[in-house]
Amino acid sequence: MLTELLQALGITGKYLFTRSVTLRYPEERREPYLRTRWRHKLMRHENGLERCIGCSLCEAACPARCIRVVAEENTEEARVSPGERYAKEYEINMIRCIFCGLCQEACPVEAIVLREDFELADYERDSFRFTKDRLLEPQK
Amino acid sequence: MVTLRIDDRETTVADGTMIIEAARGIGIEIPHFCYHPKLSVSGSCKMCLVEVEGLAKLVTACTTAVSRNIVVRTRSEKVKEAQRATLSMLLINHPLDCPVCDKGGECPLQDYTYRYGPGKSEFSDEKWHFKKPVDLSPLIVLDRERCILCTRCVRFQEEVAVHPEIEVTERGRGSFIEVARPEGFTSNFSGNTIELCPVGALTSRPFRFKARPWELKRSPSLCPHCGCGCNIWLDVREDKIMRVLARENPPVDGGWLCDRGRFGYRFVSHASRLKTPLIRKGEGFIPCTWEEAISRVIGGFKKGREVYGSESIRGLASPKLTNEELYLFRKFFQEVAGTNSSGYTLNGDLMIESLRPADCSGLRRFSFQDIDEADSIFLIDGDPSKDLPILDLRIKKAVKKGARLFIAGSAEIELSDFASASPIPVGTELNSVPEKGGKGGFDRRFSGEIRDSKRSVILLGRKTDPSEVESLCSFLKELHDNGGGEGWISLGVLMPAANTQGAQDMLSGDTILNSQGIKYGVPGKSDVPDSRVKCLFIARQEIPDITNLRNHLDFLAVYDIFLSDTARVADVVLPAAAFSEIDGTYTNSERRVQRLFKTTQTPGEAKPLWEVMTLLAKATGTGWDFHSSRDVMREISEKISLYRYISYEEIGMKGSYADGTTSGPRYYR
Amino acid sequence: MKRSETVVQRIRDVFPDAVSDAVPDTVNDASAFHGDISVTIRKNRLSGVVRLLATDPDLGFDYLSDLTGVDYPGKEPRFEVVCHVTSTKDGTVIRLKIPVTSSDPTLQTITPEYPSANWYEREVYDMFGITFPGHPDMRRILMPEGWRGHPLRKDYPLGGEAVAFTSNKDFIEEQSLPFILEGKRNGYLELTPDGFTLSNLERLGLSGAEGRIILNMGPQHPSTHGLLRLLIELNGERISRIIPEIGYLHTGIEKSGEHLTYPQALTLTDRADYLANLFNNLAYCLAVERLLDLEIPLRAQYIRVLLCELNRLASHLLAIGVMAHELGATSVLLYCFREREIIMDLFEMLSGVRMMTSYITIGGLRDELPEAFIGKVGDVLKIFPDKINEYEKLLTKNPIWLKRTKGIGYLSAGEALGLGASGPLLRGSGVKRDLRKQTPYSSYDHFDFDVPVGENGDVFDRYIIRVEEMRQSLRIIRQVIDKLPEGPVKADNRKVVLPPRDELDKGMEALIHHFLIASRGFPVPKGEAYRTVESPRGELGYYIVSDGSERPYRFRIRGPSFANLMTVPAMARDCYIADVVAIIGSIDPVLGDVDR
Repeated sequence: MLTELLQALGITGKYLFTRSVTLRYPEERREPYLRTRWRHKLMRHENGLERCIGCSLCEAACPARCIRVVAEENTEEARVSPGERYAKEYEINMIRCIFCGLCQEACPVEAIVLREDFELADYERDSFRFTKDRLLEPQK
Repeated sequence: MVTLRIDDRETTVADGTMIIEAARGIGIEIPHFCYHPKLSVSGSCKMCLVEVEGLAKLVTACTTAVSRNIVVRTRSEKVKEAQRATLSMLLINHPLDCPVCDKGGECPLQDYTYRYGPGKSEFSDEKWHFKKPVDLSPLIVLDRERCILCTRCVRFQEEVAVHPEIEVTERGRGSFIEVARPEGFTSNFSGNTIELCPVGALTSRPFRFKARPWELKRSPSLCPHCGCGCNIWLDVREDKIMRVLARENPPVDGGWLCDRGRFGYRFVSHASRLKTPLIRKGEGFIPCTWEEAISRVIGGFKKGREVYGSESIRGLASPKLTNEELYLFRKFFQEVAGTNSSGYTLNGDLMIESLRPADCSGLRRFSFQDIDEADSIFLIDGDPSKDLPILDLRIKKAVKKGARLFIAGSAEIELSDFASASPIPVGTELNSVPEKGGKGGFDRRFSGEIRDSKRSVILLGRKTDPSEVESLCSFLKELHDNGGGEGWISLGVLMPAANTQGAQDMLSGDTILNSQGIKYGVPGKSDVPDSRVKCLFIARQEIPDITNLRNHLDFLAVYDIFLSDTARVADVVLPAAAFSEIDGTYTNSERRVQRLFKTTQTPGEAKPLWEVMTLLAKATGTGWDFHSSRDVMREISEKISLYRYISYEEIGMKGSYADGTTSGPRYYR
Repeated sequence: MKRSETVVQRIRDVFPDAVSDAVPDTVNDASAFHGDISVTIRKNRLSGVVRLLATDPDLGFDYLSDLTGVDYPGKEPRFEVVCHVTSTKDGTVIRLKIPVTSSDPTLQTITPEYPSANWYEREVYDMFGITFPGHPDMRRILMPEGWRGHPLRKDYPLGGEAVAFTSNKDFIEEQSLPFILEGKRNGYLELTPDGFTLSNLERLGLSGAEGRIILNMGPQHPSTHGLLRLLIELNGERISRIIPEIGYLHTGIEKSGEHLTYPQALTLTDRADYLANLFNNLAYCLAVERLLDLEIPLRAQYIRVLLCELNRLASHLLAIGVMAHELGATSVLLYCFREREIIMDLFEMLSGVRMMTSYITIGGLRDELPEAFIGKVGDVLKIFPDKINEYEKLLTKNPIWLKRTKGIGYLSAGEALGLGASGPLLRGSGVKRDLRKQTPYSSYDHFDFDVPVGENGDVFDRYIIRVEEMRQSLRIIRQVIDKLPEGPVKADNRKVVLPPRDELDKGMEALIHHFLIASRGFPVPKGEAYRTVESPRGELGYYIVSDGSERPYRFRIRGPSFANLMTVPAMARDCYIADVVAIIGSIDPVLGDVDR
């Protein structure tokens, strides 16, 4: 009986002096993985035009029905995206989102993507309705 | 009758039926683009190829009629190969527009490609390009790259609307659709091409990019714009009507819609819809609660009654209201206000009297379908193209089949081109004796035609002089009685507004409405308002000369959806519900009662009129037990004998005639 | 499979009028997907048929896999009670379908032959309103006592709150699906007053008489592995009766699944048994792929095995860690979680999320593996064997541990089978049944591994089995990595699988199929399939009924913990409360697949 207890104490004792595996967040952060699925972003093309063409496929694919898209026509004077159509309003209710990535899969132009920003905590429930201004990648 | 086998199932159909229709009859879908049951056969898209045993080549099911004992296969390997090939060909030049195309999600090309087409593309070249999009008209947008040249739009305009304003031009793969005349694509039925187009080539400009099919909720309703009562679908997103589609009820609308009905919906969600009751303060209004507004109205009436007597209180309703609203309107003014008058007007024209059944006994009550079967059609003082456009399509179709059209008393109208004889000019009285060398009256001129036709349809338009109707009826009755019993004479009135017939029925019930309405500034008739009227309640009606009228009134309350000019001079304004916001019924020109369904929410605190009348009655101490328009209809069916068979269950989704029949000829008795 | 035909024939011989129409439904390759036999049994013959199946030595269907209902409101008879019985000797499954009319919604209980039907029949009553005369305890199980209505009926509204956007946040209540408003109007959401009164407890057989104490353990309790409520009647320090109460985590996954397309419903499966996400994905995909008749490329099958075994490692680490922690050995918990982090990290590298990956999809996998993945898995193989030895050193011979687990919670093989136990719980009692061996799926038969079986049927055996299974999982993972072939990871079927992205701006066909599959989903041919996998907790099955449309008609999850929890009263006879903690820990239930 004693041998077993001493053996066990040996193991726990060993770990007393090894470096702990805990990451001291927020001072230490881990490098995010390429495929990480957190906050959505609406991406742009190289030339600055928005990728999103307002097709609403992401809205149809979403299992939680948390995306809302209102489309509008591009004019030559005020062109937002290449092609005829862009998303005038784009809204995701982040509380209902389950971060499954089906919207990313459905998007034919790689406009909506899920990226590495996961620090989304907030105080008000209302502030979790992310409208287009919070999702759109800023111009470079 | 011919018996044949399709996909191991036997069916028997009439001679001359095309295979595609025979298959549809037993629920077998044969994909098709250019074929449409209501248009002529084109046979050009080659999508409907099927295999007929014994024939070496595949045949198009839309051009091949059935023959006895043939065996048709729609899912054999050869057919599947041909379907894949046809779709591949169509997709070669089709632009990669699905994400931006309005048709996506409800597109036959997409659906057939998924069900019958290849999964991978084998084309790697450059597609043919057009400049796009092109505005064919302010309502229709054309994308030439998407067009698969099925020619349904061109055929529709040519054959059904008889406005051949678009055509195919150029040849080969460079062919495209363009407007065929300098005046433009102005046909009143242009919107139907949008529904006919099997791809996203023809799309609606007002609906452009507003919603995807999966964002829309579809509800049935009726078009509120004319007395046809065409059945529609309302597609709603977030409580706004996004578009209107045809909900085919062939006996009523033939499956089509006119542009007024199709594009006239945006007023419902307009920002200036009245949301709260208003009471007058100085030159303007302040919002108030319903209690205040109601008590103001009752106060105004009570004062009027004290000072001037019951006869000074009048209500003026409009044929835009539903039967239930009109019934309670009359009930209030007759039973509670104690006055026996509530009239309605048609934009200033005096209403046409109801046809007295006794005068026309033996004649057929008019149904739209009578036009389809008639030998001769007589239009008197009416213009269907303006007032009931869908009847215009029906008349054109009948004339194409060989019916003869005679026009009396109207100025040159669009249908004049289709008339078989020159029209009797305006102003000629119907029964006049022919003057020396001149043209005679209706009965003299056309009595021969009516006598010779087995089946005649007589339609009285809105400009018919009411005083002449009685003698016309007796003339027709005499013709019919001497006719020998074969055939029929169908007599009807073209009621211009959505519920003109219903208004007549509800406001006069079984009695004839004589011209008891407000006589005020009616052009040409009288410009002195009825001086007895001092307190007026106007519901959903605009009065052209309201300032003149207002000066004679002590109190004016207006119930409407916008702050119209009429409402602007009122003492109390009540916010109204529009057609898509109420349950109710409309009675169309053939006295078919059809249901409206509540689809969108009333803005703010707007209420349907039957609720308002109930509140008014309650404020005077009279309690009514109406909690829904269904309750009101129940009382209507008890109190108005003409509607005794009507209930919401009876009417269902297709409507039924007021006398309870759903089809078949009805007679005046 | 010939066996299926003999079974049906046997039933026909003994009860000539029992079978109303037999629909033998054998699948092509019996080794890859076990054969599906469906037999429709007349209601009045059910008891006889079931007794025949259970007791006849030639047939030997000794195990009830699942008992559920399906509602067909257009048809009469309206309901269908569907029963899956298994023979543990060779793994044959028979599906018994018993039509029940809406005018007489009753069905004879089969608890005499299969005691595990107890909770299943209660669930059918709760969800469909079919009563089982003769049932020992006919009351609701998932919904609270006094709930009105039967949720899985098709005319019962889905309910829920509408999603709030800027355009509708001011009138969410009006927007929310009519149920909430209708519920408030009709008192739907009010429970009848019958709730949790003392008289109720007496009905359950718990009395406070003779100095007995009724103790309530849970539903909020750190040691019940979730929202599990145990009503315990104590006789001094010893337990005289114990009644598990479930339903506190019920979120209506099965009903939600009926309103989502097949790809969307996949995201629900992750969340049922939330510690064995990939197993849920896999069972669901196997069922749907069977209906679609889809062939999965070999590389995808191997990777599915790899991911499932990684998931099993993670789940067992948690099971052992939490059980140890509940019995006092907290260090083991932290060490197990430290190793579990490595696997969670692997999943994050693979899919982007640590748990709810939805990585195994209909048609194969969601995506190709990242380049560094196999290398990192190699690291797992390097580290884990020593770590597992460490846990064993801390626990297996530890006298305190042995005192707390040896001889505790004994469950005999017969009871285990009768009560529907599976997984380590069943194997601990000596029954050698592992679905990976008996009815291999997803090319598990390409790999060598052993299945540890216990002798004593106590808590200690189940613990040791889990440790051994972890070692066997490592063995399987090693073989997968060594033998992993090249090839596609998705089936070559454009009607089901999204096309590769580079084709979307080149080919019209690809764009159209992408549009329709992404927005509308894909239609699945009419039919039904029941597919099981060996999850860390036992037999996890999905029964999918398709009506030919893009949404499942019936989305049934056979959760292993549901049946496993039924064994608690049998195991906790006459023991201390502290032992209850050990027993629950050894079952390792996940309330997600108990309550769904």
